[in-house]
Amino acid sequence: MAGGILKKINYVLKDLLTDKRENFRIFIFSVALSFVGLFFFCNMGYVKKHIRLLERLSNTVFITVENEDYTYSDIEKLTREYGTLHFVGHTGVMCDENVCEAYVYDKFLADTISYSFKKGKAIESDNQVIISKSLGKLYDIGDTVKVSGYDMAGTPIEKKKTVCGILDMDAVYYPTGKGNLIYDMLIVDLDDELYLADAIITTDNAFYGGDDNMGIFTLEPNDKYESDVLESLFENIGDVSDGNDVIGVNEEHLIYEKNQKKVFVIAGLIVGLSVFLGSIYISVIRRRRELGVLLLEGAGYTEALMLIKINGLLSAVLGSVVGETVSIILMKKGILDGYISLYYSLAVLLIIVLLYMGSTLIVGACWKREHIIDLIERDI
Amino acid sequence: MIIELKGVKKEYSDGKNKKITPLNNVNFRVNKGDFIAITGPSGIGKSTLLNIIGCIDKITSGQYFLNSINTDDYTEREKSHVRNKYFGYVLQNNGLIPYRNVYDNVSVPLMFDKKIRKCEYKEKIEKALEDVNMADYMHRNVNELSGGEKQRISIARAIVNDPEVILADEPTGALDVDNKDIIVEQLCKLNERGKTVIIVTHDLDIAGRVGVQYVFNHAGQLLQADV
Ligand SMILES: Nc1ncnc2c1ncn2[C@@H]1O[C@H](COP(=O)(O)OP(=O)(O)OP(=O)(O)O)[C@@H](O)[C@H]1O
Ligand SMILES: [Mg+2]
Repeated sequence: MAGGILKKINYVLKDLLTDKRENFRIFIFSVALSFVGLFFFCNMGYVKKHIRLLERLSNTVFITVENEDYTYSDIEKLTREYGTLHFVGHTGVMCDENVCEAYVYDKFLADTISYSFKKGKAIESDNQVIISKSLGKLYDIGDTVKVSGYDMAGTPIEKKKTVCGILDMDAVYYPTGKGNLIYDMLIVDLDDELYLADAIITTDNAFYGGDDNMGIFTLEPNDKYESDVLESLFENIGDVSDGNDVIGVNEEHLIYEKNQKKVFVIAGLIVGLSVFLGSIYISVIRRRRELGVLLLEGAGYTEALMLIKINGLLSAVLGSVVGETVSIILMKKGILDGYISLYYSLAVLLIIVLLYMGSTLIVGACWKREHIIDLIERDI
Repeated sequence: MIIELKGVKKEYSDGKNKKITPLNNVNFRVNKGDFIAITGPSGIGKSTLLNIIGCIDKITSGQYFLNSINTDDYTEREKSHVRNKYFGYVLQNNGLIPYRNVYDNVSVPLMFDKKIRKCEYKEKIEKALEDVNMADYMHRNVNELSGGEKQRISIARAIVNDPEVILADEPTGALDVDNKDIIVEQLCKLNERGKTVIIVTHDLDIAGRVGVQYVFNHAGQLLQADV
């Protein structure tokens, strides 16, 4: 039995090499169809845009926006994918005596959120900073904090600032593998504008977000920053976001916009499809005589049909793999747009196989009723 | 291998209600080692008979026994097996696969013979090609060969897995006189070695060189010719 299969594999493979022209034709058109097909799938009518995720937690996403090209709807797409969006770094803030208003994205919505002062007042000079309620447990009005981070242009800043106000807002806490970390917010003066920005306090080096985390400011502990106070603080906030694990740091993320090139891709797909089907048709039709010979010499119908079309199928699958690989490489290198997914690749491969099988089955079914001798001696 | 047809009838309905009956109550027996020629006018049913014998066609009524087994009982699979094991076919237009080489063409019957292993191919193919004096052609392309050469390759394919019966339908129909002689000689040689050979031919000269001749009459019956 195994020997029988070996003999048939041998027969099929030999043909793959001897009947180069037909198989090569199928191969080439399969490459083209898979290339265009995968490109179509990977775009599905959309082109990509990059957004960098600073931190992704299991419950919350912290993102930082690299440039201002992004619209609110872009951000919304991201929140739709990941659930809650916590904050976008460097958000403009307006403060008056009693309240600071920040334009933030929170839970699917871009919204203005008001924070009232718990203590102190608004910033009056650029060496001042407003901190949150939780940070207020560590710092008081008049304390000096060392703030390091990046400004809007991305240049690093490191300044000593005096706390002038404490807002009535909470921090998010989560443990990481390297230590505990509190995500908080503070209001800083950057280029004469006030911004609400993310701030972190860490024990050890729990934050490992890289060195160009715009929108993140690190606060250096001052003298009052006793370890037991810090501990209690971590414990306090710890309950709020229990089980909130870091699942991604500094991720490149893609969002999609409508693709104007869609029409061309579909046109390419239709052309590719018809030539592919045409080449299959030719390759099967010209094997009519071979089918007859195989039947005459002792093959069953299904077996004979398999034998005459499996090398075409192999060529098609091989072509599909090559076409998809080229497509993926171009997308990875950024030469082509597209969201790469294993499912799309498998779908394209499956479609190629089904197209091949389907079209050959139709021809095969038509021939089943024919007389063996007619298959051999009479051409169509 | 004993071939025995009893009251065999073959009917085709041609489009409308008209019926064509190429075989009508045919009684026919072929013993092992016979060399039989079937002649008769065109369209009378010679090929039909040969195809029925070769398990390519079904009969409408009557019985066809192969070694006393009624072929009616065979499944499609068993028929395929019988075609492979017991019959070698030589067709009018050689029936070779044009884009495969001689070796691959001759190897086709071996592929479906479960008892033959891949490593035996070369020996068997060599032997079959030697029998038809084509040993040097093993790796040639089929479409480069002449009609006579192709027909000899076709005989090599028919005998490669050593079937008991050779069925040849107009094997010389497309050949010139010289090639015709070569083919007939080879069929005679095969018969001398004990193979049953049944040949359909228009050529009374060929028919004359054969042991038993059968002729179809217009009633669709097969009659033994007086030699
Ligand atoms: N598949 C078929 N459907 C309908 N009629 C058929 C079919 N095959 C053969 N016939 C008819 O059966 C009759 C016998 O055909 P067959 O091919 O056996 O003739 P033949 O004796 O071999 O003729 P030739 O010498 O020309 O080859 C013919 O009239 C033919 O038209
Ligand atoms: Mg005929």
